[in-house]
Amino acid sequence: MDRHRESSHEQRQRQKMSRTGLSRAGMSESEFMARQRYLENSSTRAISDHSMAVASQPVIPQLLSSNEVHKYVKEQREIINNFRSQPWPMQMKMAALMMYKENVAVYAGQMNTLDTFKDNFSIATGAFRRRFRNIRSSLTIWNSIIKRIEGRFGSSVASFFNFLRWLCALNLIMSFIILAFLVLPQASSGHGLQVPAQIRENGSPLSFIVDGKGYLLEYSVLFHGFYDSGKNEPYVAPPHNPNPAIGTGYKLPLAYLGVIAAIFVVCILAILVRMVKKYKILQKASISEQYLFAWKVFASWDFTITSHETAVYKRLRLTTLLKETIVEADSNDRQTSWKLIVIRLAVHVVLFILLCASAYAIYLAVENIDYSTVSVNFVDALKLGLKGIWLIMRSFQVQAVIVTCNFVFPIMFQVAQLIEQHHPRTALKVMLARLFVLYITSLYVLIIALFTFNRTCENTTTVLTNATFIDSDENYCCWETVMGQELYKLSITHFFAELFSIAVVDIARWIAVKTYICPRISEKFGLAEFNLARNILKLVYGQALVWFGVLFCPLLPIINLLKYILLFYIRALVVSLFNKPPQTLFRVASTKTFYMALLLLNIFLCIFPISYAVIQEVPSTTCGPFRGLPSMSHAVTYEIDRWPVIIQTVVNYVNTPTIIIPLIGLLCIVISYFASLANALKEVNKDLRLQLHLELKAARDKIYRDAIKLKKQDTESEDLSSFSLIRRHEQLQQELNSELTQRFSKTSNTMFSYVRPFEQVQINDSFASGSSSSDSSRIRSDNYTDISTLPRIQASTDIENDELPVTVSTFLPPKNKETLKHHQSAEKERSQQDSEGSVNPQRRHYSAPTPQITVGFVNSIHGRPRSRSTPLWTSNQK
Amino acid sequence: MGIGRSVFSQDELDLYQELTNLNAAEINNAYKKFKNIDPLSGFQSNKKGRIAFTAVADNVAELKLNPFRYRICMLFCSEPNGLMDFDDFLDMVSVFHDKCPKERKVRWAFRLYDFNDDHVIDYDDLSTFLDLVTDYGIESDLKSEVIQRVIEEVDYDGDQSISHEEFERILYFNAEFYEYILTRLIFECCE
Repeated sequence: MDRHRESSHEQRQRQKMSRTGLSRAGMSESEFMARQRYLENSSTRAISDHSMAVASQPVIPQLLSSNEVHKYVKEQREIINNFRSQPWPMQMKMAALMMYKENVAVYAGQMNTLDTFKDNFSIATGAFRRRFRNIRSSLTIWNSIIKRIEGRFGSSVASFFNFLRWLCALNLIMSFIILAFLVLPQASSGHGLQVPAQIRENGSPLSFIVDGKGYLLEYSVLFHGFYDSGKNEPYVAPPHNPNPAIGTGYKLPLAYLGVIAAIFVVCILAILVRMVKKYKILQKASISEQYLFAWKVFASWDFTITSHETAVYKRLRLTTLLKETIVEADSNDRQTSWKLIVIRLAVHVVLFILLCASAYAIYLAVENIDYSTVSVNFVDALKLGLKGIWLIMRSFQVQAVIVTCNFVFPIMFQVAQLIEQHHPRTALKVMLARLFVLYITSLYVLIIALFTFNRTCENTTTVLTNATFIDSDENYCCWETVMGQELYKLSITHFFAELFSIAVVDIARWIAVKTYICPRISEKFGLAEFNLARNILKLVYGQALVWFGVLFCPLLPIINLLKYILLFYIRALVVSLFNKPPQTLFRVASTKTFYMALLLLNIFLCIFPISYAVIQEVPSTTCGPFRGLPSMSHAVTYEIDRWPVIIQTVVNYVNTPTIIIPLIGLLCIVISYFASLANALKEVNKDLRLQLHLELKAARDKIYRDAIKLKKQDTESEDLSSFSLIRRHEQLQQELNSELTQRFSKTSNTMFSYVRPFEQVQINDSFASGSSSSDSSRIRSDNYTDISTLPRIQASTDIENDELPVTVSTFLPPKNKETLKHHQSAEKERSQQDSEGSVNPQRRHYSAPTPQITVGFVNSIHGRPRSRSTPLWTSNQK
Repeated sequence: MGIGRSVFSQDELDLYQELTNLNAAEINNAYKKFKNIDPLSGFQSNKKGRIAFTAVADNVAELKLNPFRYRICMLFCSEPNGLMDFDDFLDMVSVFHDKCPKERKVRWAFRLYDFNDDHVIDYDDLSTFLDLVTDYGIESDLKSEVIQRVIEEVDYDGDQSISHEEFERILYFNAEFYEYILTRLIFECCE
C-alpha cells in the first residue's frame, strides 16, 4: 500500500480494515470457540502457536491507538520470526510471510516517529545478529572432522572432541589476553632480567627445550622471573620511592596481576555460560531411570551415524543390549552379598594407601630436585655418557613420578573394577571420582611441595655448585621461575605421556589384534575402545596445569593451545584408525554438564594456591616484576596509596574486618536464600508435574465416563469398547478441526487463497457481501495474482493440523452452496452486531467453549453417520 | 562456501533465512548437497526441480544408513507423488537443525515414529521401529517383551499406546532422550 495514499485516505481505510477485520472476526467467532476448545482438549498442544498467529490476524485491526499499533506491529514481527519453525511446506511459509510482512508494513506506516525508530532499530539488530552468526559459523573450525568422527563413533566420542575444541578456544582467548597486555609491553620495553655473565659464558643456550632450561628459555618472556617493573628497577612504594618516574607509564606489576585476574574471570564466566547452556537442555536427567526400556529403545539409534560398519555393529549390538536390560531389570533388587561389600571396602582401602604412597613419592621427588643441573646442555650431557643421561632423567624426576602415577593408577582402577563388580553406571561414576581425586591430589601435592621448596631455595642458594661444567651464579635463586619450569615441564611431559599411552594402548593393541598374535584374546577383547571418562579427565588435568602455572609461566596457555591442537589431530587420527565404536550407551547430555562441572571445580581449586602465592609468599629479590615487594599483592596496595586520599580511606575502610565480615555474612545469607529458593522451586516443579499428570488423567477419565454412559444408551451393535471410542472421538475432533480450518481460512484469511485460484472469486464474494467493496482484500488479491500462478498442493489450508497435507487432503469438504449462504448471512449478522460497537472480538474467543460442539460428537457416537456436506460448525448456529 | 558465488540472490537468501533455521552459508551448502543427489535430474537446470524422495534418502550421506530414512523424507514431501524439491529439502534440514525449537522437534519425532499415521505410537509402530533398527534381526519373543515393557513404562492411561503427551513427557523433560532421538541428526552443511 502506498504511503501517500494511505495518508490521504487513512481514516477511510482504517474504517474499512477494521470492518473487514471485524466481519472476519465476527464470522469466525463460533469457529474460534470450537478451535479454542479443540486446542484445549486435543493432544496437539504444539500447534497452538500457529493458531495464535492466525487468530491475531483478523482481530487486531480494531486497536488503533498509537501504542497499540506499535504493540501490534511488534506482535506481528514476533509471529513472522516464528514462521521458520512452522511445520508447513516452504511455499506456504513464503506466502504467509509475504502476507504478514505487507500487513505489518501497513501498520508500521501508522506508527509515530519514536515507535518507527524503535521498530527499525529492532530490525537492524536482528539483521546484525544474523550476520554475526554467519561470520561466527564460518570461523568455526574442525566441523567436518568432528562430524566424521560422530558419524562413526556416535555422539559420545564426538562430545570429547567438541570439548577439546572448546578448550582450544578458551586457551586462545587466554593467550590473546596475555600476549596483548603482558608479553607485548615487556618485550617492547627492551629490557628484562639479564643473563648473568657466568651463565652466558658457560651454560648452554638451549639445553633441552622441553625442560625449560638453558639461558635462552630461562631468561625469556616464558617465565615469571624475566619480567620486571617495566623500568628494569625494583618496584618501590611511592612514599619510599626515590625515583617518582617509576610509578608512571605502563605499570607492568599491576598489569601482571590484572591479567591473571582477568584470565580467571574470563574462564569462570565462559565455563558458567556454557554450563548454563548445557544445563538448560539437561533439566531432569534422573528421570530417565524410570524409563529404562523406553530410553534403550528410542535411543537405540544414534542419528549421527554415517559409517556402514558402525551401523551394522549397532544393529547387532542392540539385541544383546535389550536382552541384558531385561535381565538387569528383573534382577534389580538383588542384594549385594557381604562378601562383595568387604571386598569393595578392601579395594578402597588398598587404593587409598597406594594414592597416599604416590603423593609421598611426588613430595619426595620435589624435595630432592637436584638444582645443580640448572643448565645441563643436552649435547654435553650426551658427552658425559650414562651420567649425562642420568642427569637429564634427574631433571625430569618430578614429572616422571607424576606421569607414571597418572598412567599406572587408571590401570589399577580398572583392575579394581573387575574385582568390585559394580553396576556399569556406578562403575563409571566410581572411576571418574577416583581419577579426579588422583589428578587433583598429584597436582596439589606438587604445588605444596614446590611452595615448601621456596623456603629451601632461600636457604640453599650457596650450596648449588657441584657439577664440573657448571659455574652457577650463587646469588641467583628465583623460586617463581623454578615453579614455572616445573609446571612447564609437567605440561609437556603430560603431552608426551599422552602420546605414549596412545602408542601403547591403542596402536599396540591394534597391531596385536590385526596380526593375530593370540587369536583367542584378540577375538575376546578386540580393538581398544575410546575411553571417554579417562580422556576427558586428562583434558581437564591439562587445563588445571595451565591455571596453576599461568602465574609463574605466563606463556603456558599458548603452549597448551598448541598441545591441544596437536592432540586434536592425533586423537582424531588414532580414533578413526585404531579404535572401535563404544559399546555402551552414554548419557551424553548429563556428561556434557559434568565436564563443565569438573572444570569449574578445578578452576576453584586452582584459585587457592594462586591467591596464596600472590598474597602470602615473598617474591624473589632478584627477579620478577614484584622484586622488592613484601608480597605480590602489595603492587596493588602501593598503587592505591598513590590515589586521592578519599578513595584511599574508602578502600582502607572496605579492607577492614568491619566491612568484610558483614559482607561475608551477607553473602552467606544470599547463598542460603538462593539455595532454599532452588529447593522450593524444585518442590513446586514436582507438584506441577504431578498436577499435570493428574489433570491429564482426569481428562482421560472424563472421556471414559462419557463413553461408558453412551455405551449404556446405545442400542446399535457398534464396537464401542472404550479404546475405540476414544479413537473415534479423536478422529471426529480432527475432522471437525479440519473442516473448521477450511471454513475459517477461506473466509477470514486470504493468505492461502492463492492455493486454489478458482476459489478466489468465492472468497472475494463472501467479503463483498460482508463489507462492500473491500479495498484491502482487493489489493491483496492483486498482489497475489503472481503467486497464485505457482503450482502448489491443494490441501495446504490444513495449516494447524500439523499434518502432512497429503494425508489430510481427504478431509476436504465439498463446496456447499447452502453453507456458503448460511455463512454470508451469519457474517452480516455479525457485522451488524459489531457495528454497534459493544463486542470486543478479542475477548469473545476466550469465553467459555460452546457446549453444542459436543452434540456432533454425541450424535455420531450414537451411530448416526454425519454426512460430510453438513459441517459440524453449523450446529452452533441453531 | 562463499556467499558471493551463490545461486540464490541476496533476497532469496534473506527469505530462506527468515523461513528456516539455517544461515546463508548453510543454505548454499544444502543447495550443493541437494544438487549432487542426482546429477541427471531436472534439478540441475531448474531450481524448482524435484527429486524422488527415495533418491534423497539413499544418497544423502547423513541419511543413507538411517533405518528411518524413507519415513523421514516422506514426511517432508510436500506433494503426494513422492517428489521432493529443494524447498522440502530445506524444510527437512531446518527441522534437524540445532536452532529448531525443542517442542517442534519432539513433534516431528512423534510423527516419525508413528509409522501407521494413527496419532499414537502403538504396538505396531514400536514393532516396526524395532524391525527397522535391527534390520529385521530381532526375535519376535524379545520384541514383544521389550515393547510390552516400553509401553508399561510410558503409558499411564492404559490404552496400550503412547500418545503424543506421553511421548512429549519422556522426550521433552528428559535431555538424554532429546540428545539421542531425532535431534542429533545434523546435516553436514550445518554447524
